[in-house]
Amino acid sequence: MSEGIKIKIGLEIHVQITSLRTKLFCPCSSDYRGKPPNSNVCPVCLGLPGALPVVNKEAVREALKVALALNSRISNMLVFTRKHYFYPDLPKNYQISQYDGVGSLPIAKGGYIKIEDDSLSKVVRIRRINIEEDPGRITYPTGSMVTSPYTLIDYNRSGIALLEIVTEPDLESPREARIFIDKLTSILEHLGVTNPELEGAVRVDANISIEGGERVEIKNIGSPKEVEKALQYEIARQTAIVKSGGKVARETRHWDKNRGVTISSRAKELEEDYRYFPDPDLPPIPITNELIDEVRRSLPELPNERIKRFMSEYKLSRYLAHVIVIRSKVLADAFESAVRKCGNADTIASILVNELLRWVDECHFTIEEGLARLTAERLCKLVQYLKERKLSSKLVKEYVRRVVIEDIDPDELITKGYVSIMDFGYLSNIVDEVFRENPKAVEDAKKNPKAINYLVGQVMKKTKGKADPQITYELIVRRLRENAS
Amino acid sequence: MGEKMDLKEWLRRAGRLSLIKVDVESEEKILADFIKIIEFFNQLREVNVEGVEPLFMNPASGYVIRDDEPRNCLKVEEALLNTKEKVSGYVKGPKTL
Amino acid sequence: MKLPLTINELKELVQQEPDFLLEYVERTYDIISDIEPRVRAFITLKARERVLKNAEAIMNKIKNKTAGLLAGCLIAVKDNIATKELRTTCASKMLQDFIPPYNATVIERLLREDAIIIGKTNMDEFAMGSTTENSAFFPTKNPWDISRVPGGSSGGSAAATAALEATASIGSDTGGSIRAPAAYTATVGLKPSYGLVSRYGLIAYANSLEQIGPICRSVSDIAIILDVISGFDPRDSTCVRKCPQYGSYTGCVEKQPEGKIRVAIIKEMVSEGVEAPVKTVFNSVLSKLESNDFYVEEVSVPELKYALPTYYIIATAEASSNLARYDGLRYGYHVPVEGKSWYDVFSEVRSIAFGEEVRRRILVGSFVLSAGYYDEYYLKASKVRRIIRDKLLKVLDIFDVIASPTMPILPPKFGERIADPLKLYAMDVNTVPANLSGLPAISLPAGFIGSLPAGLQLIGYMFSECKLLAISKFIEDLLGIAPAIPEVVRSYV
Repeated sequence: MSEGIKIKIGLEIHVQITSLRTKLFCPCSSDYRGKPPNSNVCPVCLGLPGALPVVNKEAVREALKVALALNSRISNMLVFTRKHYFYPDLPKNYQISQYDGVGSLPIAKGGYIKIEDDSLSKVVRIRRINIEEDPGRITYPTGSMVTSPYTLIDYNRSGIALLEIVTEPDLESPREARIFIDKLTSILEHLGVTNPELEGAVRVDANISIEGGERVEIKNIGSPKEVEKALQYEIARQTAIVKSGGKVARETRHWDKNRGVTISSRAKELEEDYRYFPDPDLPPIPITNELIDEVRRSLPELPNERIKRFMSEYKLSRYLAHVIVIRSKVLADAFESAVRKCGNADTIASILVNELLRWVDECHFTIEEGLARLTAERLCKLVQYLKERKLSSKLVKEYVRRVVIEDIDPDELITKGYVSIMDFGYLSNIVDEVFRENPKAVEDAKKNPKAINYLVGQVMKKTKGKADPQITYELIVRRLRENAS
Repeated sequence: MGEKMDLKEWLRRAGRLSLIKVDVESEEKILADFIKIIEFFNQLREVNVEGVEPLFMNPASGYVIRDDEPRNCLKVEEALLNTKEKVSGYVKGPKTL
Repeated sequence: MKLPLTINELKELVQQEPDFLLEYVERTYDIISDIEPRVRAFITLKARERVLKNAEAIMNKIKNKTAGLLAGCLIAVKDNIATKELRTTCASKMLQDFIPPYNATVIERLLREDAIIIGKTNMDEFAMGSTTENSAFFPTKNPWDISRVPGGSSGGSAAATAALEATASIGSDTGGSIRAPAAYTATVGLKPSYGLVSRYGLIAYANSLEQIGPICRSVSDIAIILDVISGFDPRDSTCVRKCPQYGSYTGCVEKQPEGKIRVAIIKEMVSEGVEAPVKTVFNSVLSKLESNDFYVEEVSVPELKYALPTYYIIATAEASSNLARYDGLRYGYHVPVEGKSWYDVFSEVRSIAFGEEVRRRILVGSFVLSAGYYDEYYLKASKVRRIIRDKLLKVLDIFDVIASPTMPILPPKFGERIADPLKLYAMDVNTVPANLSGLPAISLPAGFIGSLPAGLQLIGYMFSECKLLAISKFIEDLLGIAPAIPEVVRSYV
């Protein structure tokens, strides 16, 4: 892909455990988005003197689900570590996290995700999975870190449960990185652990080096969509340095998505010594085999299994099955819902993948918003009209567009006469008329198939564009054959 | 020994790590006390700890874990009761660059 | 009305005559007005009128027979325990005007039993010290001799209890901070087993070492307060879920211990570091014990030599972490932020608002946790900690208690120990082993040299408060010292 340049990419992905109702170490609500600043805090997540953390039982279960789905080795104890650094969004100026060292353990180590594509099949190894707490949020009154004379800090998010998933540097291109992230978020979504549509629920940091050179860390990539762009930019930047005889410096850079560049993060002149040690407020908790087995039994169907099942049960092509499952769990659920109602898996899959997704992207809807309009019921109606030949496949595309954009029911569109004429009898008569009125064109068409289009055009003219083009074509071809004999 | 020189640098570094200003040149007593204390700690070199697991805390019996049930937080006025500089409910903070 | 000296005396009095409670408040506040200018036990003291109002409400509850176990008790609380209505400063400039929006669990429990909290007491800043001289505001004087320290870091609480300024007080003990001032003021101070009393609301100095505990004028009072403040708290992950003795300590104290009580004296706790007068008092206590059917034997635990450095490595490490949060943004000493970088603002706040000893311990603590030194210091100390604890547990497997002088020296004069940090730390030599091991330890008044109190320390097995308190009561009765009243308030009794 990148002209043979050797690229190594490792990812550090932070995901919020959005399925929880409370924060990781305190009973504040996890539903912090949109709340007035500092209205969702308590002594614990505000870091008030004297407050103590108590771990959320469900957070442990959710983390174990992820560890199992990623085939990781689960540690036998739940141990928390303090990671010390000063920053205004960190109320205690240390983060309660996990670490791989003496007296500490990540919740799981090792594991892998297999990523596949038409041209790609690869195993990406997981290094470790940590549970940790989210810091608060800093905003800048002028909108820019550089020009603001002070900052505004909201601790509503402080203490939300995060999973940090770190990969080995097995990814070799920005595209692979994106595919990996899509697969990972699909798994998390299917597990019910993270809703990737929520703002800030998935954040990515990347480490990238080219040609065995120094590793550059890129932070603050924000959404997974930005990852491919950030990495492409960084590869270009590093390649340019190497080509002009320079050496890439080992450093941390920030992704500026507005300008589309990575910027050196000079703020880190301070040596980073996190002074990890086991958090004395949180004694280790045993993770029993019973608990692990219980969580394993409760695992829902994961993407790989679902794709296989869609292929075998609904006879979908690999491509369609893959897109439906990986693109969004909600989409896959809607697909199954509709198919259970009215069968016709292939048609529904096709409509969803080829039509719905297109309009959703164009209109900047979420998939949920699109599906709220293109309901299972409406989907089934479309399928029914297709089968009844009330609609041509071309018209169905039109219908889907209008259902999604204008939230109109297909029945309404039909009533308004927005229908294609597929009635053979009716169309045969029109074809006869056209043949009578255009004898020269008919003679041409017998010799030159391309001239058939002219005849099709005439039928369209007479039916004001409503004739189904495919049927019209078929009828004309048949008539020509009949006339020939 | 060379350690004394190291300790001076270490005191400076400890100051940077804990964001406490230390002027090793003028504050001779702070450095002298620091060195004395570290030398006091070095007594532990005499102890053989082979095969001994560290004891980080005296864990109580059973363990404490919490149900995922939301409970009332602080009201904003309570949360910011002691905050000296605030702007529309936000804590006013210094520049991050 | 004879001034009640213990909680039981007070309870008896107000059960009979609830109106006496108001007189008790008045008399106590008269003592405070007289004594406080000299002793200075309190940082924040509630106004007399307010306490009288609280007392009235409780009087009515007593009359209605709905009053709690501590109805009428006037409690002084160390200023590192969060109280919702009252400023909580940790005797530091950093928290000079900090008002917690919540109560510590211990406070909630005291209030639930109708105790009246009359004020917050002086301490060494952030509990770092053994003499209360490290308070950022002013030192507390020993009511037995005001040219000398009351001990620390719970000096204010102990002084308030000793000088009749409160019925009882609450302190915290990380390396001896309840027992030291108890020993120096001839009061009784208990550091409970680690995990027995919730730390929720205790402003942390060293989390794996400290516990909240009572300082009282008698062992029975200790038991009553322990019943109220101990017990599982779901807000503290280090708290014990089930302890069969919860709620029964008052009963324990009323029972005589059975059979011969076996007491171990650890040689290393009575050696050269302990000054002669202290040894004299201690030996005379031992004689009394032996002539009263106690079995006393000397054992040796050479590893105790390393208890002090082990303690200080761990304590300073945890302190450097716990005190990282103080940057002036959300609460605490503040420096205007506009136009300044976070690095500058944080450094300024932390360099100005922390006192010298606090800064010293944070610096040392950051060092022992830092990359490259963690293994040699913090990790090593944690291993030595296990060795020490296991040795002590071995001794307690065959003995009922370990006895020692609480402090190696009599209460020093102001300034004597504080110039040299190592001299200050050396005062904790006999008290830190119990914190390292999580064992319960109590200090009882053992005797006097002139007017200077010396304390007897008893250490028990984990969660053996029942036995420990029973033995303590027995010895207390034997020695006949408690409740000890300093000269300066004798006229009020």
